[in-house]
Amino acid sequence: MKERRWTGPLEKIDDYRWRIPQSYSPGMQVPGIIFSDEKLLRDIKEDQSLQQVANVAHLPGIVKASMAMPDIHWGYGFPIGGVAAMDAKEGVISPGGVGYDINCGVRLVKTDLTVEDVQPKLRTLIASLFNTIPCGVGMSGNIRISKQDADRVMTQGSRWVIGKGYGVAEDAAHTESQGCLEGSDPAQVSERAFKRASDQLGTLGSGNHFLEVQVVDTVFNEEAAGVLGLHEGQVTVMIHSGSRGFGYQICDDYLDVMERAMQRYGIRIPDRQLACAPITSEEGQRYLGAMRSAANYAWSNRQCLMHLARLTFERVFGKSWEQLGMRLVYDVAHNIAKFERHRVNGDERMVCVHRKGATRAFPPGHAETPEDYREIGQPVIIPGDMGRHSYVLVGTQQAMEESFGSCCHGAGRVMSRSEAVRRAAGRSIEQELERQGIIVMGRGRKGVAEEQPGAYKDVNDVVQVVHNAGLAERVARMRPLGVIKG
Amino acid sequence: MAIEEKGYAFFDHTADIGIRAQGATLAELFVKLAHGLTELLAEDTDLKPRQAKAIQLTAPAAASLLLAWLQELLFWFAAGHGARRYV
Repeated sequence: MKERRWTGPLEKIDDYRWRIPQSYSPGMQVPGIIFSDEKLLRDIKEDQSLQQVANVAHLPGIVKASMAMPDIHWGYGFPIGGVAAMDAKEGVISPGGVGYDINCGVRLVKTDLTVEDVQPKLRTLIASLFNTIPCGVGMSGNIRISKQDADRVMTQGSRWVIGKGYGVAEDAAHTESQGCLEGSDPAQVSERAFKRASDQLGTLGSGNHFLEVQVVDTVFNEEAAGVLGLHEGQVTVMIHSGSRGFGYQICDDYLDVMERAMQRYGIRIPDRQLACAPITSEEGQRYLGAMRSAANYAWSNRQCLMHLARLTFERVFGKSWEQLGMRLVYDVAHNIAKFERHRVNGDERMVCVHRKGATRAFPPGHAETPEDYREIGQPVIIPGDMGRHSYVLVGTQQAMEESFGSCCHGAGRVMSRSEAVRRAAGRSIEQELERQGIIVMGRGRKGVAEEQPGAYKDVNDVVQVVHNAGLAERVARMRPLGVIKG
Repeated sequence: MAIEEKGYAFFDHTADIGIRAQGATLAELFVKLAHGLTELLAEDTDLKPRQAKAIQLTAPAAASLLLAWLQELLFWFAAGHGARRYV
C-alpha cells in the first residue's frame, strides 16, 4: 500500500489557515480547516491525513469544521492532530476520534534545581530513573491494584492515587479536569481490560512515551512564566504516557461495538475506521463510560510516574522532593473526548469535542483553568522530539472562538517507524545524542531508532504556527538533558 | 523483504506500521498475518513454540474474524508479558 498524496482542493485563508471546501465531497457536513504554514503543509500533503480531515467532516452532527493542527499526520480513521466537535444531542462519538491510547497526555514538573546542580549527577539520575520506572510494551510495575481498587481508579482518577500517598492535593488542582472525568462507568469495561489495568499503573509504556529531564532555555513571556514558576536555567521533568494496555483494550472492544451500532442506526461513513454511534445511544453511552474510566486511569498513571520520579530525585540529590521544589506545573490530555460549551455560529451549544493528538487550550479567566493560573490562561504542554525542544504555552480567547479551545499536541511524526529504523542502520542514535549532551536510555535500540529526532517535524515550526495563528501563546521552551524511553 | 519469501511483508505508515500478507487459503493467510504480527511484537523471528493454546472465535464475516484473531493474539502477547510464537 502506497501512501496517497493529497490531490484534492486546498484553499488558502491566510498564512496559517487552509480550507478543504465542503464541496470536495457531497457527504461533507462541514468544511475542513487546517492550521499550518506552507512549509509544514508540504509534508502534510504527502500522506493521507488531509483525506482523513475530509472523511471526519462526514460524521453526523459535526459542527463548524473538521479541524487539523500543524502536527497532523496519518492516524487510525481520524488524523492525529485532529479536532472535531459533535452536537451533544444530534452527533456521534467515535473511538477513532479519541485514539487507542485514551488520555495519552503530558505533564510538566518543575524543580528548584539548576542545570549546574544536575549536570554532575546527570548520568546517575537518568540511570536511576531508568531503573525505577518500568518501560516497554506490556511492562508491569510494582504498584498492583485489586479489582475493587481498579474501580476506584476508574471513578476517582488522580484523587484516589493521591489519597494512597502518591502525591499531594495540589497535583490534582494542576491537572486538566482535576485528573478525573465525571461519568465513568467501570461496568462498561471488559474483563480483559480489567486484567490489563491491574499492574500497569506507574509504567511508562513504549512507542513515543518518555520521561525527560530538561532545562528551560528560553522564556518568551516573563509574566506568564513567573506565574507558572519557570525561569531560564531551571531543571524540569516532562512525562509523556497514557492509559497503557487498559485504554488500548477499551478502544479495541468498542470499535467492534461501534461497527455493529453503525448498522443498527444506519450510519454511513467513508471509512470503517471512523466507526461511531450516536452520543445518546446505548452504545455511545457505554463507550463514554468506559472511555472516561480509561481517562481517569491515565491521569492516575501519570500521577504514579511523577511520584516515582520524585522518589528517584530524592535518592539522587539526598533531599525531599518538597525541598527540591518538584511541583507539578500542569498535566494535559491530548487524546480525549469531552463535553464542553462553545459558541457555534453565534449560539452557545453543548458539544462533544474529540481531541486526538490535540491539546485543550482554554483562555485566561476560564472557570476550568486552575485558580492560580486564571489570569494567564491554561498551560499547554507540547513535547518535541528527544533531540530538540519542548514548550509551555498558554491558551487564548482566539482558540476558544476558533478551534473549540484547542491547539497542537507535539511535533508530529513525519517518517514511518520502519523508515526511521532503516535510516538509523549503522548509526548509534544514542551516541549522536550524547555528542549533543543528551543522555538517552531505552529498552531497545529499535525503539530509540524509531524515535530519532529526524522522524519528527521540528516542534519549533509547529509551535510557531499555533502561536502566530493565535491559538496559544508561547511562554517558555525547554531542551532535553536526558531521556528514558520505553 | 519481498512478500513471497515469508508470506508477509511490512509497509510504511506514519502513525504505526502495516502488514500485508498472502496465503493460498484463508487459514494460511491468518497464519501468515499472525507471524507478521509476532515478528513486530517480539522483534525476533527465531522464536520456538513452547506452549499450545486453543482459541475459539466467531465473527459474522472473514474480515471481522481476522480482526478478532489478531486482537486475540495481541491480548495474549500483552497479558503474557512476553514474546511467544503462537501458530
